[in-house]
Amino acid sequence: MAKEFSGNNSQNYLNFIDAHFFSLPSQGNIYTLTPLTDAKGFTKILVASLQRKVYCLEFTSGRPCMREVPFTYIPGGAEIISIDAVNRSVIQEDFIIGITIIKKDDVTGQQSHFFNIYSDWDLNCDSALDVVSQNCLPLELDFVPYHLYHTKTKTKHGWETVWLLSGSDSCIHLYHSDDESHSYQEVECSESFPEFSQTTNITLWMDVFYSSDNKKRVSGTCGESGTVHMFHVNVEAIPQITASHTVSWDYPSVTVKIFDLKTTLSVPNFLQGIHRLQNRAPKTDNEDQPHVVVANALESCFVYSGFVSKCEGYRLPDSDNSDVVTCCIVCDIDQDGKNEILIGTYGQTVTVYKYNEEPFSWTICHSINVPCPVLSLAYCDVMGDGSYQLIVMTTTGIHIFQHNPWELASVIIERLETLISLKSAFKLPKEVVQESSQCSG
Amino acid sequence: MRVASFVNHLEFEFEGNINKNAICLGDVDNDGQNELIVGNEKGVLAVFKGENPHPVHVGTELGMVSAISVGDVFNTGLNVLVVVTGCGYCYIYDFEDDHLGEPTEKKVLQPVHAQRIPANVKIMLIGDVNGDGFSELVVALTDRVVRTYRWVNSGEVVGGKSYGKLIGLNKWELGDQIGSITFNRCKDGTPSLLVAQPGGTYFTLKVQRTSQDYELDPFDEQSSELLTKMSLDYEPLASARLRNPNIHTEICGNIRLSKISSHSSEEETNETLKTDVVQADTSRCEETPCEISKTSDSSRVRSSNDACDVSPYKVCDNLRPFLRNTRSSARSCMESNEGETNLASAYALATLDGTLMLVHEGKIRWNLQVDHQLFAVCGLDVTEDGKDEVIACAWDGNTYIVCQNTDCVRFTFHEPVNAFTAGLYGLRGKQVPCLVYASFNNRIYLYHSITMSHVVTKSMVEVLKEDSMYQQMLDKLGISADDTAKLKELNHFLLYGKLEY
Repeated sequence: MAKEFSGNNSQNYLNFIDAHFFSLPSQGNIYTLTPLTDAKGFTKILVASLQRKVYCLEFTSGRPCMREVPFTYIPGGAEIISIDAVNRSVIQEDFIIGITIIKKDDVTGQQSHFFNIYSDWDLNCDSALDVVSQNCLPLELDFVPYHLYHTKTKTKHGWETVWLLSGSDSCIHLYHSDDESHSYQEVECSESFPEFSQTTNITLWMDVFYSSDNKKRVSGTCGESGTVHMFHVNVEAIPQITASHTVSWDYPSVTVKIFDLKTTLSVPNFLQGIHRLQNRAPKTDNEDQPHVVVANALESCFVYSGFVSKCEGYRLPDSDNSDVVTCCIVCDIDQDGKNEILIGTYGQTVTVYKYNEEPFSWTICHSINVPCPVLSLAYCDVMGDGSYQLIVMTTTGIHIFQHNPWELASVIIERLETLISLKSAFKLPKEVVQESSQCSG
Repeated sequence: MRVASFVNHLEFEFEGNINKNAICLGDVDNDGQNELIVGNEKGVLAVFKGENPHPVHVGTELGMVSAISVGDVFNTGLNVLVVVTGCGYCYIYDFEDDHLGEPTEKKVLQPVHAQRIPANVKIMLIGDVNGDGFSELVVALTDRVVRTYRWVNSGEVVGGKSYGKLIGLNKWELGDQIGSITFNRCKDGTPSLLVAQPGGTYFTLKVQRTSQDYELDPFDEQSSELLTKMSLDYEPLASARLRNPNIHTEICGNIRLSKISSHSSEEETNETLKTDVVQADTSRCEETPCEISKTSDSSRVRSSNDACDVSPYKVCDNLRPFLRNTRSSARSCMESNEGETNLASAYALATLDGTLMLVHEGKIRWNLQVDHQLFAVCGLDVTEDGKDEVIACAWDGNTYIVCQNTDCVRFTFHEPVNAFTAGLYGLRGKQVPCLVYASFNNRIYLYHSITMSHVVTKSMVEVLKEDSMYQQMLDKLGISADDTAKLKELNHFLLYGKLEY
């Protein structure tokens, strides 16, 4: 079926509609865009601008809407460095939002840095975001914050969401919640994240990718000095680095992303029946090693496939052609079940790279021009219709690029036909089995 | 309101301040591709063509250029460029011998005709104002006067070119300052002239033809009768009373409300026009191209409507397509509603206090209030559905594209705007709709990838809802079409997941 799916999208041409543009009063940076999905599956976009304002962009009943979220504890004159948000619960809205700020004292001129964590401990409110924005736990930092990232880690209470924050002191700091005191604390990261304990320069970006069985993870960091670390970590018991690889560039590396070539999405409950019916073999273990894409600011971007055995990276063609690379995401933008790499540059373009199996290569299949330098990218469902939209943050605002809905609808109808034919093809033996069992009963 | 961001644009370098009406899109060299013509207050005139960032033609020392227009003033079937300056000079440029496409260094323009007309012209149009099939030159002056002129050959022919001059036909003196003037087609298909007056009001000026074969001759004594045949209507527009009565008003006519008629009726119209040509041909030679130009235009409209080209029209196509400049010309496209009872086209009014309205036969179709000072309004089809959208631009760069059911898209040009126009521009052999902004920083920006399929974005769910096959298949799967959460999950899975083993 996967093949049939991909067969429908033989052409690589992407047809985007410029659905909306939200203009921002002041510029953000590469860390100030984060999607936030609530339990109903609606995605909002939180975007912070330099001048201490945080906006929430969403589509309410099909209409674009942008409002300011009044986060508390962001004093006047403060500047937001990074923002990250996550919904800890899958059944209700339990947002935690992290915002790092720099505050300059007007009198002494001294800078102070804070990491504000917003969360709601009593979960009985309608408008979760507005409540969450008022419940702040400020942590003072003794370093300049950089990338704020969240991931999960196994603790004695089970899986838990933790914050990772890179700083100007060349360290990656780990924060985890203490439920008893209702607060967050910085903890030594050598235990749960041994791979992050020995960084030697400022980390600009980090990424953690767990395997589907949660027994292994791949982590990557890249830094200002151009050093890129990649680790295989076994997390079955106490996390242990099993393999690592380091690459050094002459220029800063801005982003590292770890990804699988194929997308995985759990089958919805109501389709489980069909799914099980055509299940012939149990899911084979993913022998594919995760791939790592490294976006270098002033050089080409490279893809490392299986970095343990093979150290050579694949150079993404023409990825250094349009100014500094600022951001990179990996997503299945053409709905063929395989991930594509998207690279945003200061040269006002977003380039889409597509993977070709034979011969192994990544080729440009599409590029999108925007009127301003690109700072950040996201691919998520803001319009709430089940399809994803490409979100491009530029220096002046947020562009929402929508797939042509007519093309998507035709894809859906074709695939639905395949699904129904599968259902009817497998229905017959099932009914026979049921009837025979009834007879015997 | 949806906000669009257009990216693909051309930048032209052009120094100096540009008068609001001294920017124009039109086909000056008669190759079927529109050019951009601008003139500044220091007397420099430039013609831009294609993607060339530098002007292909430059004229200098003209005086303050106050209005530019492209049209068939000579009634020879070929467009010429007419430039009027503040001090009352009217220059006519002819690009007949001169193909702009050739890659040469910029050439200095020489007018084929220069004439003094009363000073203080601020707006100029070229088109048929009295329905006689000949183009006239219409000017509006800063002192509340509208005049029409007609080109008359003197009979002399020098070097293959006939000489003549512009002769005044009509003059109207209005009560208030003129905002702008535009052509508009009336109910019976005859042209009229709309003159915008302060406070969102306007005058309709009509010059009727006396009879079918009436031949306008300026030296004819009968011409005095014309005045008695003219009508003058003031339209206060109901809602106009609510607003500032002194606010500056812009008007743009000939906005197509519906698609161009079916082929059969159009062919007939073309046929009749053809026979007209044959009949009229006996008297004057210069009439023929004029009539043909009309047919050629309609044929071009037709061909854009996916009609197969019939051989007679091909000839016309070679001749030249009529210019379709929204600002300076009346579109002679054959529009006919069912039964051809109503030929009236709509017109849009924009005021400086931010009111934008579409008026059809004196009735306000819709009316929109914005917070920005609208100073220019144009009609242009950006959705490629055969209907024109109203495009209004404010001084601060906010541009509103409003389609006929009032759905609206905003585009913000990043700089204050000195002059604005919208229309078709010839790029890579195609006429594409574009927005032209002249900034105060000696640059002109021409946005050319502005076509959008729909003014309002549709989500995939809305598209699927209209699909009966989708509904049937949902039934087969046993999923209710009202269960939006489930549908969303299904759609999402179909797009991004897979039922693989």
